[in-house]
Amino acid sequence: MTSLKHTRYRQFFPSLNGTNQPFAYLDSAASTQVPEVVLKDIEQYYRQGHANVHRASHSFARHATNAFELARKTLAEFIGAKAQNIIWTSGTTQAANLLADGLAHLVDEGDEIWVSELEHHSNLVPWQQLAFKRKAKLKVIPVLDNGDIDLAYLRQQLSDKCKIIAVAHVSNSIGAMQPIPELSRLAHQHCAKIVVDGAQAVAHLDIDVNRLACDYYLFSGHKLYGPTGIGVLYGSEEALELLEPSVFGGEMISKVSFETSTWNSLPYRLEAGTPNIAGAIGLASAIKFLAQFPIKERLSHERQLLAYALQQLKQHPKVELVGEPMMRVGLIAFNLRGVHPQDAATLFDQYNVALRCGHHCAMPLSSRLSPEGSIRLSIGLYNNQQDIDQAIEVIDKIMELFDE
Amino acid sequence: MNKAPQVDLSIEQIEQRFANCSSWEERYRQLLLLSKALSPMDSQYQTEENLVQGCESDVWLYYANEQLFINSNAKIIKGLLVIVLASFVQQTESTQTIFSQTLEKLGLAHHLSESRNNGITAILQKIATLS
Repeated sequence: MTSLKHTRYRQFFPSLNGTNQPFAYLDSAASTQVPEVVLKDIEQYYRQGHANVHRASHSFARHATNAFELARKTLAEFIGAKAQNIIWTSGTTQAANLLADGLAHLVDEGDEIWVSELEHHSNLVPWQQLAFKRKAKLKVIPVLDNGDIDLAYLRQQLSDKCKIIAVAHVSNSIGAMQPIPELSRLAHQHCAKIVVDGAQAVAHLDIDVNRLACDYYLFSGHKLYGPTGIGVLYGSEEALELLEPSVFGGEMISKVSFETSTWNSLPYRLEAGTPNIAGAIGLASAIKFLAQFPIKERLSHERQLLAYALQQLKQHPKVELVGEPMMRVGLIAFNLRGVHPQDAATLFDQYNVALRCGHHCAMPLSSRLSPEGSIRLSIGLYNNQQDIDQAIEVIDKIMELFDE
Repeated sequence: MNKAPQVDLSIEQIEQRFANCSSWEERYRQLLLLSKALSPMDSQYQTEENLVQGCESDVWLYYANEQLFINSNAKIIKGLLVIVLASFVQQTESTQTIFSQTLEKLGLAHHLSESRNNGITAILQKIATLS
């Protein structure tokens, strides 16, 4: 049974069961909890014999290689892609850095790289550094007062000088969803590449990279019920061919002499060193875990819960929302009137409510909408009405303390 | 420059205020009340260059003529800063040592040591470089 009060998903997460104190975990935008089956699959991989992939011919190595490549296929299907379009990375940040390095040859002096004002640092700083290196300009799509990006501004300003547009699918600090298909169309009109940071989207939307029509899509395993240290860089065939490797060694190499070296084919060309085999297996396991539930039901549970939380917060006389985007996904940012977000954070923690306070690694957006930072409530599959109610009760208690 | 200290409380007086607290909520209530004991820092010193790096909230620290001035825009931190200042004037041991001992006695050490990003460590490190 799945309702706001009782979610059938919660029972699968050992960390949220079995404690005496009710613990409301509302920080899934930072990291999601891990279901039992993922823990088991990671353990089983090591127990059954761990070996490096694509190297030896013994049975442990064969087993590891099979599981690793099967995981790639699982991840590919999850976003509507083919296995050869999936590059394993350590996470979104590494994927963004791989891209910023690998696409440097596209950018010349005076060219433009566009990001939006709501990017978190991982999808901003690599592009800023690339712009410095190539003497290009970093241009910013501004955010409107409600937290949506100013698409009209971009339409007006975008020119053929633009080589790359890098945007988040969903903002990690205010939950605003970006119009990716439209942004892709605009980018391609100007022969630019579009990079979509999907870190905050993959767990909450039905992702199809074909429909989004983007060149690159990146995300992390630990926000998708999988382990840390594993992530995905998807690229279309043509887009991946364009990428020059920036990390060298291991399976990415085909031939080496002291004079020169040649690279392996895709996807291996972009996967230097020994990959995170257990991580890939764990992430695939998380995808299989999600796939056992009808996606409509899963997403509708989240949408209802978020709507409930939004309604509760909106009604609260001491709550000030930060950003009210048209399309909100997975999270809500707010402040408590007269209370510094860090003070609130300290007290939420005391009352067993886990949520994030501060600038959420997106300082430019923070300084635009809420200079002192904000409190971020984000949800996962396992959350229920009780978690939200607990957070609201804590708000009342905090306000009691502060109003004295 | 000859200004009165920002806090007129000794460590003993602070400890007395917490003496009858039986729950952590009461301790936090006291901490919030304590924040009111911090007289304002001259706003001309609340500058970018006096901001202490490593605090999620803004904390300013200014030191001149053996006088220390600090302030924060977060109340819990402000309460802790009162304890920091009272530890600073004690001068029997390092501010850091007195501060941690006091937190322990007040029953706040456990609750606050977990949130490392509150920046108190950064403030204490900065103070250690002053004298």
